[in-house]
Amino acid sequence: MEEKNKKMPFTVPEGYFEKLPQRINQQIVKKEKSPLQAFFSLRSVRLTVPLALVLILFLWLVVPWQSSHKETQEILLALEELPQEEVEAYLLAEGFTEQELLEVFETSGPAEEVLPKLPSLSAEELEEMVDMHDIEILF
Amino acid sequence: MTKNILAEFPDDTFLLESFLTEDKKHYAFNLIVRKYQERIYWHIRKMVVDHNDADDLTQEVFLKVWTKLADFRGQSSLFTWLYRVATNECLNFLRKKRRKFMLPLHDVAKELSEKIEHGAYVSGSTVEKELQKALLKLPDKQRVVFNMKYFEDMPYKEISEILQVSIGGLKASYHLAVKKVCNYIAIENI
Repeated sequence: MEEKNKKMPFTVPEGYFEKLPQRINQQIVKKEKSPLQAFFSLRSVRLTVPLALVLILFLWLVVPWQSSHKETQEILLALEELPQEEVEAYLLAEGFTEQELLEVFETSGPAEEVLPKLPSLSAEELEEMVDMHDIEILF
Repeated sequence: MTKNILAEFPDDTFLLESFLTEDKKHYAFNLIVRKYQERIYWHIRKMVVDHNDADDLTQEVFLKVWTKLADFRGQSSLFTWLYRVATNECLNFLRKKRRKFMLPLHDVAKELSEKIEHGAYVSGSTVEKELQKALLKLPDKQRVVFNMKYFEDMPYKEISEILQVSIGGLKASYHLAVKKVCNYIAIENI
């Protein structure tokens, strides 16, 4: 490990370092000819594209959901304020069957959230109501 | 040799400023390549042994420099930054080589030892070759430290800035490397 052994046993082809800058330059020109690569190597693009993608994803996921969620909340609030008689009259006028109404309620979440609160009725009162509105009893 | 070459070129501040000026960019980059190509090439060559690999990696280092130099904030000197890029390229290359062929450290050292013995563009005394073979027994990072300290005579402070390792850690690493190499040389009776 003396000073005289500090040499390395490696050599390079003749004229290697004279040609190397030119070869590197050729590589750069080749790289810059690919416009797509050049476009994405721009610092502004590298910063903007991911931000734009995140923004698009955010808008796509959150905003429609928020607006539809907001609309649903507004409709439910409006429905809650409607008198029960009006709702019943509307449903009958539209010709909804009891089966259809049940299906809607089953897919609309917990019943207590969706159904209007019914007054507490006895069995006889309920039968009278059914007869009065001529509702078909299926079961 | 190298210090004389460096003196022929403008200083790094001037080169960096010129690189950031659009109409002088190519000219400045060409000067940077010519100023540092030999140091970078030899730094890489000592790590990867093979000339063709060193040639590819040197070109890749300068391509990276071309792409990233505009973002260089001058927190370190240009020379330190170049060396760091080159060192990372070497370490990644050797790591990939091992992963690609599922080779342990020992087998990569064996392959590189063969290249020292019979590879192209290798000509030196037996002692020089045996020292290179002994160095292949070291872990890559320890070999980088040894090369920079022993062959390039770099001060620890400079190596520490390049490798971003404490000076104390470097001293310990170099001391350990020298000990291992001396043991190997003693065993092999070189």
